[in-house]
Amino acid sequence: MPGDFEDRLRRCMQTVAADVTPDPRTWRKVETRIRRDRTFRLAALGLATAAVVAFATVALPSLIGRGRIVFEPDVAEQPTQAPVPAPVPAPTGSPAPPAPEGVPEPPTEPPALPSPAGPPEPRQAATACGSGGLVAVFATVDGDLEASCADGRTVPLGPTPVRYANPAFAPDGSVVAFEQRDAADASPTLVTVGLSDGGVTDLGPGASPAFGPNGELASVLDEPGDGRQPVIQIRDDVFSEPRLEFPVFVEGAEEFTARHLSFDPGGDRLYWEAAYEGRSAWEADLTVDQPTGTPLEAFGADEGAGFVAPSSRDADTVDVIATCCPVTDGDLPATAAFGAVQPGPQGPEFAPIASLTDLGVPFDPAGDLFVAPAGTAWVTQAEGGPPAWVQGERSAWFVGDGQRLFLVDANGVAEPLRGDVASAAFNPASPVGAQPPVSPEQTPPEPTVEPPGAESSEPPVTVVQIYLPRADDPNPDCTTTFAVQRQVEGPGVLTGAVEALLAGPTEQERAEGYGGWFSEETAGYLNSATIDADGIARVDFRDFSALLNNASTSCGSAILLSQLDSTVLQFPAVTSVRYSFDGDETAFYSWLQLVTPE
Amino acid sequence: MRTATVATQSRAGVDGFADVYAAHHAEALRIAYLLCGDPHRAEDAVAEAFVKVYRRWSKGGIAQPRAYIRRAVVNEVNSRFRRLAVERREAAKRSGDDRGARGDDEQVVDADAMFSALQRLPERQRTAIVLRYYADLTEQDTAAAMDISVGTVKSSVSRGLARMRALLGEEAV
Repeated sequence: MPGDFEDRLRRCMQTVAADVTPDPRTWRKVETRIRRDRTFRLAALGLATAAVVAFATVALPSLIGRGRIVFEPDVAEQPTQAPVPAPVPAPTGSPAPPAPEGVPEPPTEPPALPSPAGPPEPRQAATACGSGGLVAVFATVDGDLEASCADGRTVPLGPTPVRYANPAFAPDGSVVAFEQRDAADASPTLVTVGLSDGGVTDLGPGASPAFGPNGELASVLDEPGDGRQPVIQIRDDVFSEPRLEFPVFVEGAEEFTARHLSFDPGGDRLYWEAAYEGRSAWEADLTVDQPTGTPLEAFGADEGAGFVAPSSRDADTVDVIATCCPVTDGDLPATAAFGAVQPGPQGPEFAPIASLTDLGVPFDPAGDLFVAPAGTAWVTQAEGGPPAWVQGERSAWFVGDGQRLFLVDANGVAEPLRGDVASAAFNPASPVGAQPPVSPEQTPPEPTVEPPGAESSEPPVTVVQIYLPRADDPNPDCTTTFAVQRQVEGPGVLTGAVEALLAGPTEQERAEGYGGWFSEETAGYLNSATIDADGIARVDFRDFSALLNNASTSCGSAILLSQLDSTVLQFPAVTSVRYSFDGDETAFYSWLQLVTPE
Repeated sequence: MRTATVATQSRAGVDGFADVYAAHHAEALRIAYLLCGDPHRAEDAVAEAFVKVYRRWSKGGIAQPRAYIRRAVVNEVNSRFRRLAVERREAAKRSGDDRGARGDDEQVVDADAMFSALQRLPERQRTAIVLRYYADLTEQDTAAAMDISVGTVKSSVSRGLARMRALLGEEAV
């Protein structure tokens, strides 16, 4: 009878739900988040108030007769040598090519200096690096600017009494824009400098400049205390008045703002990081008359997950740093990963490229996160010589936590660049790394797709995740596994990932508490792994059931399948998976006392 | 001094909210678990839902906290777990599960099978069934919690039950 079924359903749900015990620690988590939320709002309000005062008393008068940015080392300053203070050994498969012969030695003398107080001189900006070439501009945590030269020199641009942040290059490298403040708590103004003639343009109030592919300039206008919510302005070029203006948020939230703007390569969409109910990435369609900001959908599945610091590289892909998962009573994110949001079968999905909290060096996932494209530039250090920029083989990005700046490539290999840097911009006209990114290699792992890498004789190397349970998991539930990275070679990354999983954790990982069913005993038991046109992965093993005697218990099979599922389903092309022993699906599932999927 | 006053008010507000939390947390967690199938993720989602509820509660804008919390939990769980739909579907496919270790208690076996079938339903059908048959809401209240029409609740429940029967190999009479 239907009523019987519904009664059974009621009873069953009561039975299942009764097994769930509320965690007494959750209130602490809620309380912490509430207090931090309030603190954040109050701080934002306080900052806004202070900024109004500062703007009225300091920044506003200084808009007239502002000092020039001088792209030259100060006479008293010697160029510092190293943009890479402590390079770490790159893992196997590092894309960093060997140091090219003849890396230019840093000049023994700084270039000739123009008079800072003199009229604009064309060489002011262009000559900061001399013949070495300007590769990037760094904004330090103290608000100073530095030019990073191809030959490894770091040239202070100033010092100046004002503070700079968020540099951005025009797509042709002709102009660089900055956010400028006369004091740390002053309202920002936008300033651009022509790299060919040193011409300075003061665009008035604005922040977080970003150039589009045709030289259009986006920025955030956030005048605290004016009762308006922040707006994003679009100019056709640095000499034009804003032609488009739209609010950052759909609903009024004037005490919050946006930053880290980024156009898509076609200039049709704009992405930004919004600080509203946590940090998240937003986007807007610029082709309509009245653009509307909407959250970039993709994550949301993990506690504390969010999108920060987006940068766009193609029409369908947005690079982000995603923070994730406070695991303690506190509310700070525990991990941060750099990756890309791309279309997936269930909608936009985040595909990680590199775990930033697993670099072996400190990275603060709660920091002031930052990501920006760096072309295909890479760094290397000749023996006994200074670190130098070189032409890399893959797309790379500047990634930072507000203190430390890294260079991360499409394979997830990270090089620490330097500390005390809040943001950075890569010069598209740089002598290194300015080539268009090699698109197949800058996408996350895509199974069975051959990354061309046409110019490289090395097999493509891709970072994938395999999933292992941990012996010290505070909440063991037979299904929770944790990602660790492996580098796999060749076009079949699904095959490589499963093979790596079957080989089990490394000795070091075992020492750290990782475990699971697989080990050197099961290594090599993969017969094949394929994906059909419907996205169904078929993974066929040589029968390893005799090696894993207890894997068919309830908890044992749950862990085993969690390891396998998580590893296989990390690839966006895979929508479901079926396993078999030597071609026999029933053999696999019956071993685990499960019904073979339909 | 102004800051101190604000801080004091804030503390009183959060402490007051603790009572609301204590009264509704367990029910919210169990609904979340039935919706997402993972106790830890359910706990996380409920925590986030309560943070969002507090923002409204602190402004004195919630007349019926239980209903508001229920709605917040449904929204939070369903928005968070769409990404996990594939994994959940994969896990649920393997149920039906004749393992002996769970076979001693017929009711537990039935509950496991029911729960697995529930997890394989589309989000809207699953939510409607949980709210109707676990939270024991009326169709009107279910519609309000899901922000859909009563008619949609009826059809979602009907289709969901039919789908569950089919998954469990039971024909409707």
